[in-house]
Amino acid sequence: MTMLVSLVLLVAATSLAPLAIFRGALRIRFAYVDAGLSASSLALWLLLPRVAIELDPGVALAAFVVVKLIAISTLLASSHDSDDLAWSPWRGAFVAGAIYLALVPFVLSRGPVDGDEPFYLLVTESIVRDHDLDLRNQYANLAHSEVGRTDLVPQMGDPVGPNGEKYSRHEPLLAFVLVPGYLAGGLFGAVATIALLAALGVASTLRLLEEEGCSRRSILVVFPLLAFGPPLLAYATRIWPEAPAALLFSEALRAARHGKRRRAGLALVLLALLKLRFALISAAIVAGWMLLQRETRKKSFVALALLAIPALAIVVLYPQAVTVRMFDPGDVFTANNYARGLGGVLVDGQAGLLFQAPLWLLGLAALFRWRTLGAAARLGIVSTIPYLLLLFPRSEWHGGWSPPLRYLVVFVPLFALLAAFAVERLLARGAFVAAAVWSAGLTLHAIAFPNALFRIASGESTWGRWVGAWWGYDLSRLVPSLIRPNGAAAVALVVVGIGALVALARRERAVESSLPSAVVAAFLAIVVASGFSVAKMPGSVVELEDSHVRRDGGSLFPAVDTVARFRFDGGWQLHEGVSASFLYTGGASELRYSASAPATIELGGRRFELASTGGVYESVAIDLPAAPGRYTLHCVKGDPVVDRIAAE
Amino acid sequence: MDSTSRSFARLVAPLAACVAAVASISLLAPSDNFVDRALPLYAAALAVIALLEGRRFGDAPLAFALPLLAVVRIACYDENLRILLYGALLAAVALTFAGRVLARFGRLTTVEGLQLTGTCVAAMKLVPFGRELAVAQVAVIVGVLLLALSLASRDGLGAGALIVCIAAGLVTPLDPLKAALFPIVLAATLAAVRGPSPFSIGALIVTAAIAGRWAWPIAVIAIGVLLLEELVEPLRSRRTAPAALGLAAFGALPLATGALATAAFSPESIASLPRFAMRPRLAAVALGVAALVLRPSLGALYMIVALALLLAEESVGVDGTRRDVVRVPLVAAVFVAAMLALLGYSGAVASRFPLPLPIAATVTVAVVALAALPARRTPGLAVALSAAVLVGAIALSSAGARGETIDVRAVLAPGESFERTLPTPGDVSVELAGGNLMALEPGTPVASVEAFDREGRVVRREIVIGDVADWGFGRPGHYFAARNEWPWTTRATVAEYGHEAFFGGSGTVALDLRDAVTIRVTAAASLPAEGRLNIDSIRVVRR
Repeated sequence: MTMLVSLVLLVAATSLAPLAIFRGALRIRFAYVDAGLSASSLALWLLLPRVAIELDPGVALAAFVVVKLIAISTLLASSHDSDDLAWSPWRGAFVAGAIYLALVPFVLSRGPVDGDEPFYLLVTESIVRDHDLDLRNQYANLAHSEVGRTDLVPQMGDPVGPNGEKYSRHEPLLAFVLVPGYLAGGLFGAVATIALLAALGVASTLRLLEEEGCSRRSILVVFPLLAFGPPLLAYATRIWPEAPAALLFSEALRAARHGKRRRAGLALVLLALLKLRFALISAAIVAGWMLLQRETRKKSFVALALLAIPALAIVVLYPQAVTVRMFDPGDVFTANNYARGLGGVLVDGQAGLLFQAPLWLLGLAALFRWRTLGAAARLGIVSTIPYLLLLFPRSEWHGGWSPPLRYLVVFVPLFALLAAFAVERLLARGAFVAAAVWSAGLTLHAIAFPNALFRIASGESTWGRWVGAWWGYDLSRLVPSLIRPNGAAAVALVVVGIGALVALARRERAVESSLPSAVVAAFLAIVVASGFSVAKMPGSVVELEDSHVRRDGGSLFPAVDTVARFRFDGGWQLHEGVSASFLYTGGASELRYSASAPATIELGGRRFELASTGGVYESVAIDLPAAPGRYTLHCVKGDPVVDRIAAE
Repeated sequence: MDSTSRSFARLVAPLAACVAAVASISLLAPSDNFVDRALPLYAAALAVIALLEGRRFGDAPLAFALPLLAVVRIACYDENLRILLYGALLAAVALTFAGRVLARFGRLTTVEGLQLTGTCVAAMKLVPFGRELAVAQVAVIVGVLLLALSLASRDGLGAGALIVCIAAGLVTPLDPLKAALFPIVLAATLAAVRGPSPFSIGALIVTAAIAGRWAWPIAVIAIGVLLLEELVEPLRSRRTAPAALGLAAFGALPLATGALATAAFSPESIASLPRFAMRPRLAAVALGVAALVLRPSLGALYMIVALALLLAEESVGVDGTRRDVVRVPLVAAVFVAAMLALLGYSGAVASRFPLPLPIAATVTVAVVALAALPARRTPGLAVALSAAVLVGAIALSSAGARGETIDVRAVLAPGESFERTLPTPGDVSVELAGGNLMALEPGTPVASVEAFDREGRVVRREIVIGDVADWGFGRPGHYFAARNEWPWTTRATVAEYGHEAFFGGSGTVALDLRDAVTIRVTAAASLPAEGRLNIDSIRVVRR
């Protein structure tokens, strides 16, 4: 039934909402395209079962939505100079909002709320039902909660009151914002509230682009990727503070640009209250603004002091909100950590811009045209610096258990601004089309499998997992990863660096690409074939938790839902009689494992006794036959957790 | 660098590298499935079209389909979906190329047309490639090339000609060999009709004689009309009778496929059918199509003859330029896309041409397409209509798919009965198919099905060929000679791949009784001694 409701809503949203922006001949064209897509979709729906293709209705619906979005976006971008285009930021936001709202029941039907989401909702429930922030009774009656999760327990670092009250460590502003929506429609209403705020964020960003002097063409080209591409789409139907933060960030930049201090101040205060880490952005915007406006020191001090009040209030009221986010010993300000965080944000296969939002990465080329950027863009760039300086060295730079690019969503308006600038002056058409096609795939994945966006930061990319699980080859080692640093990441960083140098050296966009399409296609085909060929070869390092390892039992260690799992050395827990097989080079190797009692394993036809490590990880040298091929690790005795096997 | 060297460096060498890369993946990823093993063939087909594009436009962005083909092979683990994607890629590439050329130049050059049709037909017909069928496979490809030549004008090939060539290649059976001569017979017919001469008429007579009895009506009608045109010229002023004959013929087509296909090719052509029929040549086409009544399995072949003759007819515009009589709208492009996209199941599609879907589904799709008709005046209404039809049709089809399916897999000899008490009362339908019943004519009784409820009420239904068919009658090699016709409603899925693919002939028989508790199926005693009735499954939907 939910699927039928979702179908009705999504068909209505993708068919009727665009009528608000298409008029006259454009509307006629849209009607033909829409009818054609409907007929083709119906034909496929009826035909595919006849050719023995088992359709997941959810995936089919997601594919339908993505195809409709591509059609709408193409029509929009190709008619930027048409008089029949009734375009305005609000109309664009209306289309985005309609689709976000239509997606809400669908996304909720694909999986339960996850990550921090249920805790925000518990606070909202507590406000509505008990008029307090104490979550004790919420945890005691999870079966009666709208959250739909009966497995919840307080998060690590949640504050405890003097009388045993259980509070959430999350700032309560978002929970308060969700109250009207929750009262109107429970969980659906709460998520719909976020969808509306995300749509407002789209409107605000589009207005920012207009005010910064971006052409209509560049705005219409960037709009679909802003509204329907990653990462905003994933967060527009999720209870996270990121989408509302993007709205406030954009509003703050717009207000600052126009010199509207009260509006800017309100947006910045709300941003800081929404999440403490955003206070850094607020402070940087204030400081940057004062600098650009050449305000007096006294005024600057007063402004920063005013901004500090809400931040201090949070610190005083919720000291745990700060202490829980204190850097752990691994998060130190070293060059290595900075390089890893920065590189990861740029090219990591699981959490980097290159793979998760390629247009935003290409848009960064606009940074090299600093002098020609508008005031808001420059202020926005300055405001990111302290935030990013704290983000990069953190072990959680990738966002942890959340959809990708979590910590960068707040900057989506700035990314859109830079991308519009790049589209207008720097990017070749082919580069943009490639980014758009890839983004369409990401959107399909995000809509079809919203809960698959939560990943365990193992260093395996979605591609690596997908292909590795099927073929039994370690493809992940060929996908750039800075979570688990590999050679592919170094190559990708070099390529991105060369691209940056080219962007820096070139003054204007090349009108025609100098490389023939067939040559580029041949290069890609050879890369794919070579990659597959290399992936098929046995690797010199095997991580036991990876998907290419074929296992007949055991379990992931630590469990998927372990808080901040990325801080642990992962592995696969074996039990007596359990086997795992994988492609491996063999030879003298090092086995990293943890065992609370002595264990015995067989590997490559040889038996090894593993001493107890008392539950910590240790490495032991093992001598295997130097014969590359498929190895089978068999646990004879004990319950060791095997992290990895690496050739020496 | 001269133009040949530049073309080699910018197009030929990179495309060859692409094909080599895809072929290497095919070697690295061995498969039991011969469609997967044909990956280099598909890559070569894509490369040929990309090469045509590069030569025409200077650049070949369609070449990106080749790395995409490699990615599909590696990353799509659902075999059937993967095979569908191979076809979808070829369809997208072929249509994009043809669309670009037709939009800019109006026609493909004859050489381009030959290469494009040859490539598409080879991709459909050469998988799997077998020595015993090699002669037939080559005959089909050569025949399609001849057909393209016979349809070509001085300016080259139009969209309609491309469609006819690809469709002819699709529907031509490889077994028996004489049926594989269909494109050659059609090419000879067109040559005779467009340029009557003793040589062309003689060629038609010879090819029809070799092809066998199925081709004789085509030759007789074509030659007869030519004679008629010469001998009965004065009668052309009184056109009422040929017009009536033409309309009646179209109306008499089994399942009205002719009219629907004509509508699919060009909705405007429905209105102009009487005008077509008034021409002796086209009246002959209509009569030829009417011959379908005699041999249902030949329907697709005859219909393509009709379409080819319609397309061969050219008219002269007021400005003196020549143009095709039948215009090719978007719907026709979708039609071709479906043929190519399903190339991994070309045998099955060929036997259901032009409607690979059940008739009800096709009508529903057509309704969605028709919803676009008011778009010119009230586009908002058109959008709302097509959205409503889409949602309604999917809801309806989903509701129809509900229920519990009980696998039975029973085989009844003539006169035998099978009875089953249902686990839960409800609306019941049975999936039945025949065995060794291919020679039976439509309407021949094959079984009776009875349903009983708790109060003892009984509903009985006589089942005939048409409600069900022989399970394997659509199998290439059998289909051409079989007398059965396709069941109206069926849940049969495709079996096999490539040109060996076919749809099972099982039919769904629903019984109009609320809360049936028992069902009994009895095979007709009049069935041939070796004939069998297969009960595949029973579906029960609780009210």
